[in-house]
Amino acid sequence: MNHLEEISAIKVSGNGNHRSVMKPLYAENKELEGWGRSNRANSDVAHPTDQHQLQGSIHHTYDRTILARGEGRSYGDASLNGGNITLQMEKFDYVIEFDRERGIFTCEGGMTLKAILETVVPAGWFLPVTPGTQYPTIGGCFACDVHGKNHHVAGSLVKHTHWIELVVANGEIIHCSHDEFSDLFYATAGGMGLTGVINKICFELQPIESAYIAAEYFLCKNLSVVMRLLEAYDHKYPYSVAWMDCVASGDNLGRGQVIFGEHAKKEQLPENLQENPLHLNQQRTIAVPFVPPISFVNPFTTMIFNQTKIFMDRMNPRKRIESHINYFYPLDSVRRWNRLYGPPGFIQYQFVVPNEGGGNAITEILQTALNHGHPSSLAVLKRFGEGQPLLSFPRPGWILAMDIPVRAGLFRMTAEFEKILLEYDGRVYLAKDSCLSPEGFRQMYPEFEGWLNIKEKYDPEWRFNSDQANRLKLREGI
Amino acid sequence: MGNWLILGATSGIAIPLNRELAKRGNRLLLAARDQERLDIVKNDLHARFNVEVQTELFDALDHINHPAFIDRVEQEFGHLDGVVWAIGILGKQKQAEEDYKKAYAIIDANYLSAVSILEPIAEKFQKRKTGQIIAISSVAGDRGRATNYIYGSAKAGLSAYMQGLRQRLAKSGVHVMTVKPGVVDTKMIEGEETMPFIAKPDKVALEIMNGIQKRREVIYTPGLWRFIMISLRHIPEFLFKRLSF
Ligand SMILES: Cc1cc2nc3c(=O)[nH]c(=O)nc-3n(C[C@H](O)[C@H](O)[C@H](O)COP(=O)(O)OP(=O)(O)OC[C@H]3O[C@@H](n4cnc5c(N)ncnc54)[C@H](O)[C@@H]3O)c2cc1C
Ligand SMILES: NC(=O)c1ccc[n+]([C@@H]2O[C@H](COP(=O)([O-])OP(=O)(O)OC[C@H]3O[C@@H](n4cnc5c(N)ncnc54)[C@H](OP(=O)(O)O)[C@@H]3O)[C@@H](O)[C@H]2O)c1
Repeated sequence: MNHLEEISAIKVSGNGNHRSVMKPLYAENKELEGWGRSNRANSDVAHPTDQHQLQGSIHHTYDRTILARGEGRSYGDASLNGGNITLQMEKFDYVIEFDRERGIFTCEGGMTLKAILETVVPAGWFLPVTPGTQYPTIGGCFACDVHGKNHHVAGSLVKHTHWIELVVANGEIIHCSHDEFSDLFYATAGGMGLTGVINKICFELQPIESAYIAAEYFLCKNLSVVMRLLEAYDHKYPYSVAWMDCVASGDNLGRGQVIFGEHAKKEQLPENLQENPLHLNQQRTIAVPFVPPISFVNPFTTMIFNQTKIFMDRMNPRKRIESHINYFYPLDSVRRWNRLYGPPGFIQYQFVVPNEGGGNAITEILQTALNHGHPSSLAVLKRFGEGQPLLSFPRPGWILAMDIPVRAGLFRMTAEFEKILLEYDGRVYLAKDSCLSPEGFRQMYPEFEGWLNIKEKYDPEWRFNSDQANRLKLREGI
Repeated sequence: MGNWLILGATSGIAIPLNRELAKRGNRLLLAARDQERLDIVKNDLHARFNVEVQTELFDALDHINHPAFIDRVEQEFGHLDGVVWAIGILGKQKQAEEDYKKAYAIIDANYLSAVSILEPIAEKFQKRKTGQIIAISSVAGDRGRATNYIYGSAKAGLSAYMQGLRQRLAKSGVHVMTVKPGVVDTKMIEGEETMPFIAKPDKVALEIMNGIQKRREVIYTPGLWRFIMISLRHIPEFLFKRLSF
C-alpha cells in the first residue's frame, strides 16, 4: 500500500445511541486502467461506504476533482481521473427494495449486474437492458446509458429507470426522474459520471418464465447478407445481434453470424429443465492470471479463432436453448480476458451510423481497417431503435463495435474512421472511446451545448471531471 | 434453519455472513449500534432472500443491560438457535501504551463485552441443550507482538474464553466455534499501513458458514493462516524478541 491520506472525516451519530462515531475516509494513491488497458492513470482512490462519506468526500476535497468509478468495464479513459480523486463505488452494493409482484428493483449505485441477476432471476425477473458482460455496476451502466441486444425494441437503460438519487457538487442529494429534476436525470444518463455520483437507482424489470434463451443462429457469407437478414427479421425477436469476422476480405468482407433470441418459455425447455426453469448452475469461469509479455491477439490468431468458431458452429443446431449467461455474457467465462492483449492493451471502437448510407460507412470502415493491417479481433453489429436526448449514445441506425489491439499506427487509423463517420453522420460511444478528437465529439454530439448548460448549473466549478472530459476539452465549452 | 442473532451485524465480516445465513433460510436478528446502517442491511437481506429480518440496537459496552437484552430478544424474536459475535475495535497500539483509557477501551470492546453478552446466552443454550455460539477472535491472539499486543491480548482472552466455554458446553451438545481471521479487507484495517495476504470478507464469510455447518471448533480463515500461526508460535521467545513485525 502506498501513501494513505485521510481525505475526510465525518461525524456520524449512531442514532438512538448517545455515542457518535468518526468515520474517516482514506484514499490510496494508485494506478487504475480502463478495460482496454491502454489508458492508465494514477489517482487517489477511496472506497466510501455510505452516503455520509460520499458527501464528506465532496465537501472536504474542494481543491481537487472527483469521479465515481464502478467496475472499470468502460474501455477507455471514461473512468479515470488522473492526479485527482476516484471514488470506487463497490461498497454501495445494497438492495433497497425488490417488489417481487410488480418487478421494480431499487438498489445502490455500486451493485453489479451479476448480483442483481442472482437476486431477480430466481424470482422470475430479468434486467430490462443488459450490456455484454454482467460485471459492471448499475450506476456505471446508467452513467453510460447502456444498451443491449434488445435496443431496437426496448431502448436504453434510462427508459426503464424510474428515478435515481444523485450526490451533486454542493454535497446535496437530489432525487431525479423523468419528471423531477428531469434535466439532471437526462444529463446523467450518458453523462459519464460528470454530473455527480449515482447513489441509488430504481428501475423496472421484465418478467421471464425461465433462465434460458431460445436462440437462432444463421451464418451469412458477407456484410450485405448479414444486414439484410437483420433488417428483415430483427423486429420479430426481442434480441438480435451479429458477430462479424473482420479478417475475411473480398467477397467475404463482413462475413458473420446473426443471432436472434428470446427468453424461453417454460414449455420450450427440454424436460429435465422444466422442473426448475429459473434455476441456473453457477457459471464455471477461468481467469487470465497475469498480463502475458506479448499479445495473444493478432491477425493470425484471430483468423484461426474465427475459422474454428465458424467450423464449430456448423456442427451445432441452428436453434438452441442456452442459459442466459452463455447467451448474453459469453466473454465473462474467461475472467480478465482483457489481459490476453498483452502489455499494450487494446481499444474498442464502437459507433452508430444512420440506416441511410450505414452499409457504405461500415464497408468503408472495415476496408480501412484491413488496408491498415489492423483488423478487429472481435466485432459485433446490430440495429438500434429510437434514442434519448443529450449525451446518450444510441440513435436509429447500425452500430458496429470492434476490438482492436494497440499497435503502431492505430491512432492514424482511428483518425480516418472519425473522418468517415463525420461524413456519414455517425457517432462514437463514449463508454468505449479513447481516441475521439474534441472537434469530432462536438460534431457527433450536437446536444453537447444543452448538456453543458445542465452540467454547469449543478456543477459550476467542475468538481466532477475525468480524463475523458479533459481529452475532449469539455470544460472549454462548444 | 433457525433463529440467528448477529452481534455487530453491520461489521464488514458480518455483512456477507448475514447473506450466507439468510440464503440458507435462517431468520435473522441483526444487532448493532447504528440504526441507519441496520436498516440498510436489513432491507438488503429481505430483498435478496425474501426472509424475515429484524433489527435491535445494541451497545457492546453497556454490560449491565446485556442479560435483559437477551431476555427481550428471545421474547420478541423467539428462542435463539445461534449467535455470532462480530464486534471489535483495532485501536491504536501506541496511543494505548500512553493512555490507559485507550487500552481499556480496546480490551472492553474486544473481550469484556463479549464475555458479558455471551455468558447469559451460554446459560440459556446449556439449559436447552442446543445452540451454536460463534465468536470472531483473531490470529493476533495467538502470539503477542509489539505492534498490537493490547488488541492481541484481548483477542487471546476471547479465544481462551471460547475454549473454556466449548469444554463446559460440550456435554450439552452446544456448538462453540472460535473464528480466527487473518487480515480482512474491512473498515477495521482502513488507514493501516501495509498488510500481508489481505482476504475479501466474502471469502471469510463463506468459510465461517462452512464451519457453522460442519460444526468446526476453531477455524483459521483464510486457511493459510493456520500454518503462518503455527510457525509464528514455534519461534522461541529469545529469537522472537529480536524480530520486528
Ligand atoms: C465485455 C463488455 C461488453 C460490453 N457490452 C456493452 C453493451 O453491449 N452495451 C453497452 O452499452 N455497453 C457495453 N459495455 C460497456 C459497459 O457496459 C459500460 O462501460 C459500463 O458503464 C461499465 O460499468 P462500470 O460499472 O464498469 O463503470 P466504469 O467503467 O467504472 O465507469 C463508466 C462511467 O460511469 C461513471 N460511473 C460509474 N459509476 C458511477 C456512479 N455510481 N455514479 C456516477 N457515475 C458513475 C464513471 O465515472 C465512468 O464515466 C461492455 C463492456 C464490456 C467489458
Ligand atoms: N479486519 C480484520 O483484518 C480482522 C482480522 C481479525 C479479526 N477481525 C475481527 O472481526 C470482527 C469484525 O470486524 P471487521 O473486520 O468486520 O471490522 P468492522 O467492520 O470495523 O467491524 C467491527 C464492528 O464492531 C462494532 N463495534 C465496535 N464497538 C462497538 C460497540 N461498543 N457496540 C456495538 N458495536 C461495536 C462496529 O460497529 P460500527 O460499524 O457501528 O462502528 C463494527 O460493526 C471483529 O471482532 C474484529 O476484531 C478482523
